[in-house]
Amino acid sequence: MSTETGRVGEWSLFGHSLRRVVLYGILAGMGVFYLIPIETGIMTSIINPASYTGSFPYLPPLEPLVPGTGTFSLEPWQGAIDGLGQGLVNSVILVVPATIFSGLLGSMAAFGLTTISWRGQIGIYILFVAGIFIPYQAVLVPLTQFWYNVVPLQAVFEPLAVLPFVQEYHWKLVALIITHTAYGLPICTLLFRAHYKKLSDEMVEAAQLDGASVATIYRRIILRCRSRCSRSCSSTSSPRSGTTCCSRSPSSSSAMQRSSPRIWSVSASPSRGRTSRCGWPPHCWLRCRRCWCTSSSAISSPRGSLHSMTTDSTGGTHPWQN
Amino acid sequence: MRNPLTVLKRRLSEHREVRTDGGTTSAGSILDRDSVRSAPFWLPPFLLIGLFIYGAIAWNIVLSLTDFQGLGSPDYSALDFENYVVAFFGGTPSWSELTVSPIWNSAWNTVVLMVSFSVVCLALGLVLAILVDQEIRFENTFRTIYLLPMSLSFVVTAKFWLYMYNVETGLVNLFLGAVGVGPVEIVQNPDLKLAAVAFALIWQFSGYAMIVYLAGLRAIPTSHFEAARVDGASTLRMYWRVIIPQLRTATVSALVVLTVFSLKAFDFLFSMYGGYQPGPSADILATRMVREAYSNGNWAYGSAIAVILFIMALAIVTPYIYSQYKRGEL
Repeated sequence: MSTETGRVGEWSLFGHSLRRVVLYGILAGMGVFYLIPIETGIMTSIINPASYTGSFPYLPPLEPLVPGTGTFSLEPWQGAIDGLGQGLVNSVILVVPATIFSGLLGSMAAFGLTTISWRGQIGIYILFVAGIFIPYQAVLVPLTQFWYNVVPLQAVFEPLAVLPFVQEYHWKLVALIITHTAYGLPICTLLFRAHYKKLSDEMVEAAQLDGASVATIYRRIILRCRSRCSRSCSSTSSPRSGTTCCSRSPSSSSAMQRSSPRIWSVSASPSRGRTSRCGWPPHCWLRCRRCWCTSSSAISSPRGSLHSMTTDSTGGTHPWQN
Repeated sequence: MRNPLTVLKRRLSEHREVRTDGGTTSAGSILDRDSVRSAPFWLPPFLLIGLFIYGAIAWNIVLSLTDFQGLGSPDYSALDFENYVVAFFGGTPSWSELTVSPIWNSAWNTVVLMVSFSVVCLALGLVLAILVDQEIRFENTFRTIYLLPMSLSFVVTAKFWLYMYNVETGLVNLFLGAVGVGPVEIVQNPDLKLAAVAFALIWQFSGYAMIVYLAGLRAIPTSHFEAARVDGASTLRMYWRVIIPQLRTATVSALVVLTVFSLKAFDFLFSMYGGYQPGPSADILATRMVREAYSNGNWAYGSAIAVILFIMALAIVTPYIYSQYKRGEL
């Protein structure tokens, strides 16, 4: 926040203030600290084991040029792939469905607990959030009992093993997928809820006034808004003008005819300043192909935003008010 | 947050009889409630976590009261608190002929690891966040580098640091040799084990603390920095008296997450020590629990340790979630 560059009377080095030089020195040093274990591991992994001396584990293999660094070889990688191939396949079988199910169910749960507002939802949501913090050891023995003694999943897979690509041991992977989905759900719900809170209410309200069902709102609005928002919440593209009128009248929309018309409450809080834009006025919600958030959060952590529970998104303008 | 919500709800329900299109609605049956209408969305996930998380926890508590040991299935007819007595005071339980040691050693290690890891992590994260916040160039690059270790799994971190701590070829010992300290056995050294584990975990998670603090720093209005400057405060004094006190919520949320991470450090110890036996000086409750249950077959005793671990996590998380709820930030 405080730039001291070029302050009168400060020590300087090559035209930069000494303060800045020291600052960048520390930052770079910390960068080395965070990178060097990874770098060392990668460098060592491409050294021919026969020529490995261990004196310079952090240097790339430059044997003819620099003695003691070893010669280049992909032999360790070959060995790792041979040895871990089955594990890699199993990882993919486990990770892909578990991630998809966690994300899908988490998004659904967050929608049911955020966009639609009803009494007691916060209690349900607290149970979801608390699930993030449960140490796995606290549930291990019952889970072992459950999958080995209660659910006969192994017996189900014994006859299935004659099918191509199905092995008997896959029952363990299926059990892991289901369990892992359950344990990935809480954090997914938290992340999706943080995004849904940022979406504007106008579109949802307009859809509700048109009598759209809960499922229609999820499918036609939330899923489309999510695709952009979950990637990044800072938008540089400007939305189309707010005066644009949709050519189709909302009253002729299919959702209107399909679902029972009823107004229900939206969790609206004007103070939070949720601003998502679609490019269409809210009443044209059916025309919306994708929309994006305009509230720019300064930082998006790659692990998601646990801290978004403490840092409220600020500001943003309502596109339809000006 | 709740007040405008309830006002809006009331307003909507007042106008329920006559709708905008002139029609009327029938008085809400139970099927028309929003909780029921949105149930297809939240109920299946809720049932899943209800079964696998909360059901499993309840079952675990019941299991901890049995004498379940070895092969076979648990006997739920005789429930008692013997396992907890053994866990706290040691002795020979009825289900075993051997003396079982109490959990104090591993509990103490857990607390030491938890406190040292989270405090150092927070301090390092705060310093890094303040440095990154100095309007530097390449800020995104630095941030990404500092956060990179967090994208690794515990297993990968453990293997990297096992290599770093190696007596002959490890970088740590090469560095120590350069400053004149002889090669030190770190990973198997009882005096250094826990510190080595904590250090590697700090390497992995201090970037997370930095991100949380950076978000906190960015939320503080620039005028606070300027006011302190105008009043002639030094940089150190400005941060100590003006800025850091405003980072309380960031500290609490990072602290809770980091503390619970350290309770879960089982994966790390398991891959670093290649099994359930990290030795008494690095044995935490999680490794002790898994060893008792899966290595020794003392299922019920393992469950009792798991309940203690669960209560520790609950004691940390409950006040946090409650305060978040009170502040309407959940």
